[in-house]
Amino acid sequence: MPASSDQLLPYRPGIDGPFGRTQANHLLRRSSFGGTAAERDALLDQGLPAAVERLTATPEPSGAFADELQLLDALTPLEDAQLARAAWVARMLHDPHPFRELLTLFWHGHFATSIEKVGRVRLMQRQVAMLRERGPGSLRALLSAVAHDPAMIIWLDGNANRRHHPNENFARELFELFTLGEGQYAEADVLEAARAFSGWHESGGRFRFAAGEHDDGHKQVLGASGTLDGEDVIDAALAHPACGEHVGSALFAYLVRPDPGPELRRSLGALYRESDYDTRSFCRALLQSRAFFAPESRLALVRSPVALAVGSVRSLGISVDSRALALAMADMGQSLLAPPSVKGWDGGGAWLNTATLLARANLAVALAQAGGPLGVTPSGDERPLQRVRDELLDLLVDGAVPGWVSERLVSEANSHAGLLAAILSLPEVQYA
Amino acid sequence: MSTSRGPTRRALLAAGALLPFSTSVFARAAGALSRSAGERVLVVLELVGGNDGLNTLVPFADDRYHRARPVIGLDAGRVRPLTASMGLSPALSDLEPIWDRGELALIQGVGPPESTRSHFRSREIWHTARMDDPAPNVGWLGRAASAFSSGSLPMLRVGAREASLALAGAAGEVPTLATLSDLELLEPPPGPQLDLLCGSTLGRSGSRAELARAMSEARQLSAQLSGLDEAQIRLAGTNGGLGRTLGLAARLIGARLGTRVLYVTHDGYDTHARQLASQSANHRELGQALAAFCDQLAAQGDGSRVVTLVFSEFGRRVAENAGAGTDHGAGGPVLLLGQRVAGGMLGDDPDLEGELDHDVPVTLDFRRVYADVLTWLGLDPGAVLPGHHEGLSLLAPSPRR
Repeated sequence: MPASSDQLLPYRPGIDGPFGRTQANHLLRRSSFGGTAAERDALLDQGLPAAVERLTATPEPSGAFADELQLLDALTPLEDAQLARAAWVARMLHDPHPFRELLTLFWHGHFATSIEKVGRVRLMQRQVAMLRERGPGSLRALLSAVAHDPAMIIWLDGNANRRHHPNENFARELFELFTLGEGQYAEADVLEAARAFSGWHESGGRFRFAAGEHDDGHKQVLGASGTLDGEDVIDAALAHPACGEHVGSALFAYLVRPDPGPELRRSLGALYRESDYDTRSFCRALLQSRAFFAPESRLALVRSPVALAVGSVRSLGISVDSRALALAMADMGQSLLAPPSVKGWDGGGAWLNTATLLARANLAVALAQAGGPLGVTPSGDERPLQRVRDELLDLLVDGAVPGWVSERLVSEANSHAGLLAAILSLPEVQYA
Repeated sequence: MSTSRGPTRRALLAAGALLPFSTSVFARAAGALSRSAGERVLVVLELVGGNDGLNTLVPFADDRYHRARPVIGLDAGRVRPLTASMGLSPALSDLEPIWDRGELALIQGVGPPESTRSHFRSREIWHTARMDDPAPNVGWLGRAASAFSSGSLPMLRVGAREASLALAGAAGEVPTLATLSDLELLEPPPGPQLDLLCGSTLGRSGSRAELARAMSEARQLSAQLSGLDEAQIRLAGTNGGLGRTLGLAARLIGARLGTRVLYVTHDGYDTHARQLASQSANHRELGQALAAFCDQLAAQGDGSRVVTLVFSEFGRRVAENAGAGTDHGAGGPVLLLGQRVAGGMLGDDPDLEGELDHDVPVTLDFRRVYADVLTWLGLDPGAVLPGHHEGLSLLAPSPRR
């Protein structure tokens, strides 16, 4: 077993192992929800470092995608949560750089804010747009934007945080969930930090600094002291050694595999800090690390409902009604813009229970059929069933299904639809 | 406290073709599923939010009760007396026939030895039956489940999609069923039989095999129950969500799937303000649903093998607050219902002495109730509960009459 710091060193194709179809499939699934064989082959042509660099780039939308975004904006009426979800799902399906949305979804779960309390769809959309814009950059700038975000202020009772009546809700979650993790700070830190954020209010859907409600007195937070304000508290959290570990390990669990363990957590913290908390560079390092390509990371993550739905559509090369797809995600237990609590979605095994497994089975059937509840336009693939099967099993699970299953998939399928429904229903496909 | 939400009907199903039950390709799986012999079943009903015990089981003869609750106190004349000192809230009058039959035990002053006024923490204690903080991630029923040998679905969470810590354990994910429509499947295109393929990794170890098993079970359950419709599920004479949920529970018990524990929650008991209206509405729904549930179980021949345990994470303060509600307290009553229950009143009447902030004290450790139902299920309470907790002998191993 290599030392944990070595696990984060770059994977050297040819020395640490190959960079072949299997590794490229894995990279495509984890960085981009999945994709087609052509997209996978392009990664192989580029080679590992260049492939990771391109996959994690988030250039300004251009061409057909930019046109589509304009159309989406024009078609999105105010205050319709279903359409807001559909518009986000359309971005996930059609962005030529899906890492942008994969990372936005991570931050949506990390800074979990729900329309159920915020109430205003527009503010939720603006928060997601903020996470999309800031997500790949510096964690410091992101945390500051989150602390100023109107939906977040409503969600964690910022307007109730006043000079003489500090409300701890945001300060507590900032430490417990957003930056440090439980047990890394004292109750006094929470109370003092709440004072530093007092007067950071929302008014008319905008951030408003209510000077009269801000406590500008002396405070002491995580070892820093002075007339601290919210920005100082964010700096103090970032300076705390637990911050890089906490957020870095969460990204690792999202992109690589669950439960890094204490030693690797420390290395992750160091790596994130050394990157100056630049999230894109950190993710790039993770996606080309030895840990990422280690056998225990392959197919080690339960696909979230969003990842399953988006990844299936992208891999099949079909198009679907994104509004219906957003509803299907909710059936499977992940309603965008409405995480169950400030902790976000538990993920992992918690995605899977009787009701959600049947919803996943229904998704498989709906995706396989032209028209139907998802309004599917098929890819028009006319190749023999055997080739379709091999390609799809390869893209989705590196072909890792028992031989007899693979046999029966073709021998008993008499249509492309029957084959696709069966493949997408496999237990193996629930993992990525 | 939040309540469960979300569409009551699957989005894809609303738009798509439903699998007709009669032609189901899964019908075979249903036939293959062995029927259990009818083991004993525990139904746990959790009243979420902290049910006010003093307006449930009312000390109507105690002046201090009426003094402490000038607005929300229930008139002695309207309370349904069960003993000389205690009676049921009129909103729970549907429970009277069960009491009269001797099939309702009311246990007073129940709670953990060190009570807490946090919903979250108190539910953890009830769910794990341990006082450890932080709480372990295994529930008391989750620990019990490993001892159940029969059936592929030893425990079920019914009526909501959220899991319960009480059921969490080493045995893997406990299936959840919010409504019957959770079980509906779209008709697949002609092709490989999905029910068999989804068992493809069976026999291998680890999480994949667990998932394959869970998928097979989900399909089997769907096949067993998807012929029913919502109207058939609801218990006769009930309205509200609980009548539907307990109706589904009764069907699941009747299907004899080998399920030993069904876990149900009823939300809305966090009554800090204007409590009379909300708690009465909740109690009416509760009493009606429990009475219809007992009747349904008796009618389908399952009455003698089912016991229902009703609890809440804490009771509330003795005195009402300024908002005509009550704040988080300590002890409260637990209900046990069933044909094998030794009906009657157990435990001390609540002590209402003290200041405004006074709690109803905990006089009986909740784990003694757990010990009783574990014994009834044929399990060793010592293997499930930490320490020794003497049972209350409220459950007769054989018919009492």
